[in-house]
Amino acid sequence: MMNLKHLFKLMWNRRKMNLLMIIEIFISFIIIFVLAQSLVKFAVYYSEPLGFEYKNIWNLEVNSNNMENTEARKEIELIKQEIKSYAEVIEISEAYAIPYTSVDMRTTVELDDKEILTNMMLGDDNYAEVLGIELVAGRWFDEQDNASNYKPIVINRKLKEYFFGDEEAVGKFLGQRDDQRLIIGVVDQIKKRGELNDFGKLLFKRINPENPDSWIGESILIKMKPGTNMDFEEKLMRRLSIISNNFTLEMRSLEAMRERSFDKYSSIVYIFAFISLFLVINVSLGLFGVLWYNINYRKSEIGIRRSFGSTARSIYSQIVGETMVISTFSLILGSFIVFQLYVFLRNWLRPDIFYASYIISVLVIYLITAICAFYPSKLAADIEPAEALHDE
Amino acid sequence: MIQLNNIDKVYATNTIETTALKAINLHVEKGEFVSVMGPSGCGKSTLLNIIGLLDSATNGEVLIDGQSVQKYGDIKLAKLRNQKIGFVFQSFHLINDLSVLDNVEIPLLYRRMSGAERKRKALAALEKVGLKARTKHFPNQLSGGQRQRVAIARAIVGEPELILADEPTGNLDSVMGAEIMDILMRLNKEENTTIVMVTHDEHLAKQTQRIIRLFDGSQVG
Repeated sequence: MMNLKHLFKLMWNRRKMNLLMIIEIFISFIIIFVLAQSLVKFAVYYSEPLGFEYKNIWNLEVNSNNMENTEARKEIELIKQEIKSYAEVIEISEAYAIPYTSVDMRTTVELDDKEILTNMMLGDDNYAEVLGIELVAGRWFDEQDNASNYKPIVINRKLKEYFFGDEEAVGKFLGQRDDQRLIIGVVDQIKKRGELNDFGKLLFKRINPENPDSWIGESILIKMKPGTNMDFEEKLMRRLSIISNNFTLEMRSLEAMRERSFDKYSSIVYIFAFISLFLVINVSLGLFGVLWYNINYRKSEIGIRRSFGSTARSIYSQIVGETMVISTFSLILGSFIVFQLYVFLRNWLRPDIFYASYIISVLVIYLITAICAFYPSKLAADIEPAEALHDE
Repeated sequence: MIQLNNIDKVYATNTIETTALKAINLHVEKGEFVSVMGPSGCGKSTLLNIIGLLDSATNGEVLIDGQSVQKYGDIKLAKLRNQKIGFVFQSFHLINDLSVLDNVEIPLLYRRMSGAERKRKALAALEKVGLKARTKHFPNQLSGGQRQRVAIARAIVGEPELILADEPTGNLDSVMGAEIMDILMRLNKEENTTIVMVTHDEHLAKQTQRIIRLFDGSQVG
């Protein structure tokens, strides 16, 4: 077994040469960490619940074509009434910025000295039921809110944690523009853009058809009985086009919208995975080259050690061990940088994704350096000592 | 101490075979100082490498202390090299990134020994070659003669019974060469160390007890 003090002394005396390797491994670690962040992020998002249901839900896009509000409200109510009259329909909901659409709304909310730009979605009183959204605290919008002095909002867990931490949020207020909004409920995560995306902090505002100032939705979500087929869609659309004179209507199932969105994000994942593989191969080849050069440079030393009693196994243990120590120095440096980055970007980085990516990157670096060091050092150690000495 | 029976060494590539040694029979007694002479390329270093278990023979048998080493694996051969043999090379073969003391300690790193004991033995070996004052120097801060003395200290630090010296004065001027020869002679006489030395120098060879002459891989005297 090689003496550790001797090993460290040798490495210290070769610090200039080792510094090159430390830098090479450090850069490799940073590259792998950035890639791991992206891939782990996708994997974690995919493993987390979507927060709503998409099966047997259809989305009727209703475009009022800039109609005056009162007229638009009348017409949309007619459309809703017609849809509800069919036995195939379980429930409907008027909404704005629904899942899988590219319509995003954002608003700034504040409490005391804290404020944040957050996503916003709009839905009527049936929205949670139609989309199967479960509340973790409080309730969804209902008729009680008609009599309330405050405009109600439902927020998601992330927004709640940002402002209130572990404390209860229901019954408290958040400021939006000049208004105070009463939090009536808290939902878990709602991944509006699908499984591979974290929609972040979110609040819901109420669409109240009885209030003439309320928003008019751009979507009517229709919860169908399971097994309802496309013939019904044709029948319904024919009927709606007779009723609606001014609206442009388009029907798509949420399942089809999900598939399109999933394809879009999964192709990003594939591109990332391909780039990662390409970069990992490049990093490995770079490391392999540096290690191969270093080991060849040390052939004479290997011959000397073999002459004076080292076994082949002890030689490659020494070289692999040295490489692991150098990798550890690079990783200490790399860890310092990525943890600084984490402190700086902690509002945007999720701790679980950060730590998982960090551990994966550390393991990948140790694995790559061990493989890259093992092969050339084994080849060098296995040659006859006389040949190694001859190669000086 | 050393017995070589019908040793052949052939270096083969895909296209050519080169015979380095042919039917070498050699016996070296314990405490002997033997020199090996011959023109360049006659197989002197190859013979020394085979005796020192640094290279394997194509045919024949090597016996150390009456034990055939033909079937020894890497671990046993390494142990034999570590405990019984010390090497001195023409080009010194010191590790430039280690100090004189650390270079001398190398053979002891492969033995179970405390750091203090290792240091004590290395200092004692350096004292024998007159370099105790240079322990913290690095090889490239030393003259050729001093480097060879470090190499000798490294060869003797483990108190081996056999020293194999491959043209130890080949890279030195005559004064330095004589100094190195004196050290080797002293080791042989005072510590009864067996020495096999490859040399081109007839004058040095005559100072040893026996001369083995090689020509074209064969023993001619």
